[in-house]
Amino acid sequence: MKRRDFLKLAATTAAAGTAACKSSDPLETKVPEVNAIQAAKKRKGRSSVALIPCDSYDLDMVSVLKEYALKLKLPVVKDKKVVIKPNMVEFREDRPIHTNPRVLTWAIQLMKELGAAEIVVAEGPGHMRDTEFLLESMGVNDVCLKENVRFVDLNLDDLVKVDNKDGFNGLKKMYLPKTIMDADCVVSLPKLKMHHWVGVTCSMKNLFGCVPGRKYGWPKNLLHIKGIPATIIDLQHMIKPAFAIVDAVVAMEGDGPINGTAIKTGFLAMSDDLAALDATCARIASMPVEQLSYMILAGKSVGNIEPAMIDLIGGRIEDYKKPFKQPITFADKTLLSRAGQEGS
Amino acid sequence: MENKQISDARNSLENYLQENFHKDGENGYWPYKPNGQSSTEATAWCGLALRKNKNIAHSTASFIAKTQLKDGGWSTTLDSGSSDWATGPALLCFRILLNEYPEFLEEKKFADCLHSALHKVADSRVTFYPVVARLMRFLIEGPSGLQYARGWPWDPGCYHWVEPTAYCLMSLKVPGMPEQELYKEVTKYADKFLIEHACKDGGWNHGNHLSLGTYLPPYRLTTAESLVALQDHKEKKEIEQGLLFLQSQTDSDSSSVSLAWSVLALSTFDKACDKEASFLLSRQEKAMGEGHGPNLMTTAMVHLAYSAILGDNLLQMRSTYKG
Repeated sequence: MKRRDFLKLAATTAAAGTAACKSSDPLETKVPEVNAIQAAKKRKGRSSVALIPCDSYDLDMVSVLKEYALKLKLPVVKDKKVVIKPNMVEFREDRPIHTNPRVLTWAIQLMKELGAAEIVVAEGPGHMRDTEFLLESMGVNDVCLKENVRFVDLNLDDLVKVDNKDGFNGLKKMYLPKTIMDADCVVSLPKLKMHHWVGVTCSMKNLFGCVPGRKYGWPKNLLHIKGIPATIIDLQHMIKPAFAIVDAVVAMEGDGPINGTAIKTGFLAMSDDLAALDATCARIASMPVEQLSYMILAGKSVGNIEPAMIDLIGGRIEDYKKPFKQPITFADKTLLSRAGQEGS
Repeated sequence: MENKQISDARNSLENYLQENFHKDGENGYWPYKPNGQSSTEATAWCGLALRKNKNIAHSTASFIAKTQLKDGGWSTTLDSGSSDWATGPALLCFRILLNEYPEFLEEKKFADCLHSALHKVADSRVTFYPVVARLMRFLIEGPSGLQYARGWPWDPGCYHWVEPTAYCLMSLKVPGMPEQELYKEVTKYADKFLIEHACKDGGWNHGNHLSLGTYLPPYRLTTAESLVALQDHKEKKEIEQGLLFLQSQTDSDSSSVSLAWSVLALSTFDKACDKEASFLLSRQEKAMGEGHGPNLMTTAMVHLAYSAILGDNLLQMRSTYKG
């Protein structure tokens, strides 16, 4: 090797090394130490997750969802201000990136049935500043008008400074939207997708969309650099979502959360333990839960991820399990060093 | 479409912006949504839309000067931590107001604010390569090894992205920049960043043109913002392709903010934008009919777009300054 070639190689290595250090290494099983305060936040006792068959968005699922909500003994929403948070990260006509508007309709109608005093749909799309475009392209605007509920763009909402001193990502405080922090009840309404940085995205990762772009940008790049797994868990503790309903009628496999492809999965899932819910959905997607660092961290600080601690209602994992195409970063983990600088 | 129609629509937006202008002593600001917290970005665009009103212009400049942080930058609102991407729009607005009213510079607070803001913008680009890698590059390639594309991040310590880079570049391309090599270098390598990040078939995504082997698509908003930021590079093929992408969308309705930026970009390059204007008018009528308008930042962008159609494109920078 000539001296010049050697120097070039060394420079490239130094740059790549820094990029890797700056970004997290989320698929690795290096999990932050969990102290006693953080461990005390974990849910006590067993968890229940409902797996509800649903093979078409043309169905009316409201009464079925209500039946399962009662079986699960979900937190009471009667007379409360409920914020429903769908996933609207980005729009591509041919890809199942966002929560289907039919699932949003069902969730709104379910909250009405359960007696919510006020229902707000709120989201801070993670990649695109143009929320008006996303609302119209995805059909969310039509749903809100039809159901007579307000939409709040969390990216531009007023800010509240929230304490995170016992968090994992190193930020002692974060700025979060007032609409979220003032809600009595936040409901996460994600789309089940593969995710090339953290393996799978579901109800916990969906809360990244609560982080306001007006402070953190599009995408919320600082949180990537501070560590996606750590931030996912910190958001659970700051936002305290009441429960979640997962859109897995059609999911995304492969190079999610944006560039993957559709896979028909035919179910909805619901629980008030988001760790148990996501672990169950990840198992259905044939993902190794025990290797996903944010799942491991969730199991130590949020809720139950072990199958033995999760009671399934309505169906079994085997009923829906499919061999999802895994994210390309599973095959080539060196790609993760690029994570911090790539948006999707 | 008649100019009167556009002019009437702009007047109506002007009234809406004035109704939502908050005065706090000598400072004036706008929130993103009526009655919300102050917003540096909304104040910047709204202040530009109403800049012909000298009192409002002075109040806006005072607010910008007052909310400047010690490092010379701005954060999104009061008491919201360290400076962030809002620095670009704030400096853009501030410099345009000072050009419009040069007498403002006689006030020390404005002169000081401008001085430290320019330093902040020059100093807050992405470093990208660490010290060791920069040294290696220098050893291998000489000074040219340090001349790589560098834009601005959304937040300090993060990577560079298309939109914050576009806002900062616009702020540096307002006529009247100090003739210093530093600013020319900064502009040159930020231009390079945007040009290198153009999508494969033209236009700009919000981030990279390529992610883990997949080519990403361009969007109207990010393409229009990049074109305005790169308006002094008319000869580049990326500009031509970006304009072609924007023009390919002309028959499609889109959001108010995308249409407004499309008008500003097309008009900057002296291209027709009648259809975009027509869509904007329809959207404005619909929003009024439903009893609510879009956010104030978007309202200001539409106001600026109407002004551009009427022959006053604020973002068409007739500057001789080039990085």
